[in-house]
Amino acid sequence: MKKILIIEDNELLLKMIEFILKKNGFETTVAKTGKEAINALHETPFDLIITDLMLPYANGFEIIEHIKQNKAQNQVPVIIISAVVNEETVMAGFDSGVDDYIKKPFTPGELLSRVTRLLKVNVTA
Amino acid sequence: MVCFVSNIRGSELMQAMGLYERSPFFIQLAIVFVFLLVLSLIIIYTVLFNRKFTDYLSDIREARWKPITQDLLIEIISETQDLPRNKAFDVDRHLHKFEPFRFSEHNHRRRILINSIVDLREQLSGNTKKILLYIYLKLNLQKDAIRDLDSLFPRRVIRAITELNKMGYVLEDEQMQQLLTRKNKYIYHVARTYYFLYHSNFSIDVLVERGEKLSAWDEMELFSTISQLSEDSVPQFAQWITPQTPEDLVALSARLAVHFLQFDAACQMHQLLDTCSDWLKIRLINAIGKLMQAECEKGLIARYPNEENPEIKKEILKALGRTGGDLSPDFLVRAFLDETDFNLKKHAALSAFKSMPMAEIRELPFFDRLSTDETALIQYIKNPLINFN
Repeated sequence: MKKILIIEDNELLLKMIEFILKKNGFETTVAKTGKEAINALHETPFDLIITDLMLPYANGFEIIEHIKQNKAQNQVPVIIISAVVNEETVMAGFDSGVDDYIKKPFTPGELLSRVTRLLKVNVTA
Repeated sequence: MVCFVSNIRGSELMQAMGLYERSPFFIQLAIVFVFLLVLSLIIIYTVLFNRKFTDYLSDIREARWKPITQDLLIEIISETQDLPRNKAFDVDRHLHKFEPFRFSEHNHRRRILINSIVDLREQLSGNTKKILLYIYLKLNLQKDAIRDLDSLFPRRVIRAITELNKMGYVLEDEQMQQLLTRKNKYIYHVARTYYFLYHSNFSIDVLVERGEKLSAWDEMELFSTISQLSEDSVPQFAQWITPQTPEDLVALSARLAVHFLQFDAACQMHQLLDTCSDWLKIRLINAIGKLMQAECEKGLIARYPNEENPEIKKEILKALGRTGGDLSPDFLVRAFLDETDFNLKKHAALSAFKSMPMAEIRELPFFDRLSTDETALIQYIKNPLINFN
């Protein structure tokens, strides 16, 4: 079972993403702050990381930098989910090495498609 | 027992009253002052404790009901929207799941549900957004916000308008109009945003009638609100580019006409240049340039030598660089060669040579006669790392 780390400070959205992914056969770990995310990254290896950009304690870019500097995890695909949709931030996201950028508001189906594409798994209807 | 206590209190009170009456005036005044002070302290502490207690109760309720409400919403959404494992959109089948929680009877539970719906609706799009609105309407959750529109507490009214706005719930036009008459400026601002997004007949006349002077913040807020309108509900902004409309609204209309690419508005803007202030002239010329209307080119060129304000001259040069008419290139080159003001020379060069390849510029007959500064200026313009303003 593929392991996904979800980093999102909005409790309701975090639950929603977690529910969708679990329902489609993924194992999830959640983190509400940058600090929790970094702790989780030290504890377990993940197959995919979904992160928001604006987070308490450490922002999304700092987390991505942490992931990319870690030799064991720098190949893990990362998806940013953010309400910040200006060109500079999106470009900065891709420059930092993320694999996908989902703009809020998004559809749960869109998220699932992008996750399955990156993990190269099929979610059967 | 009660009688005994009241007797003691009665006699003590009588004694105290006697003492008070025999005291000098300033002592009486001090007693009254101390009494009022103690009384107000008691009131303040009572209010504070009451508020703390209410918050404490609300936190307990929220801790209990928030997870239940959120789980319920997520369950319904995941079962009803188009995820691969789900069937067709069918919300009604799931509405009975709300019944055991009796949201209609308990205000705090209903508030948690409303907040969760509004929050989730902001984060998600597509079908989910429609499902959340459907649940909101089916459970009649909008009635709280509609009731609060008449509240005497501005905070409640603002919360109600914001909720309806975020949910995309459309009030009657008259109701929207009434909200705009509220004197509280914070209510007015949220009501204005709501009005422009949802009024069936969009018009900025409501601002004209109010006669308010728009601040830079107001203009930015209105622009960001109105620019969200869908193409089919956008009016022709040229109708407000008239001498009768206040200048700040003309400037806003010009910006919006540019945003919605209403090219015909450029002529209206051009006609207004003869009568308006320099402040508006700068904005209108800027808008004409952005609309790239070559018909206005001749008028702008004719206007250039007569204008005294260098800011207006600068905007004309910038606009001519964008309009792309036949007359502009020669005029801009002439302005570059003849202009003595460095800033204007720079903008003339920028407009004239920005899109021309350097090799072509070198071929120009006057190139060899250019001064060192003029050649340097052209080279700077062709450098993409230098940003001219």
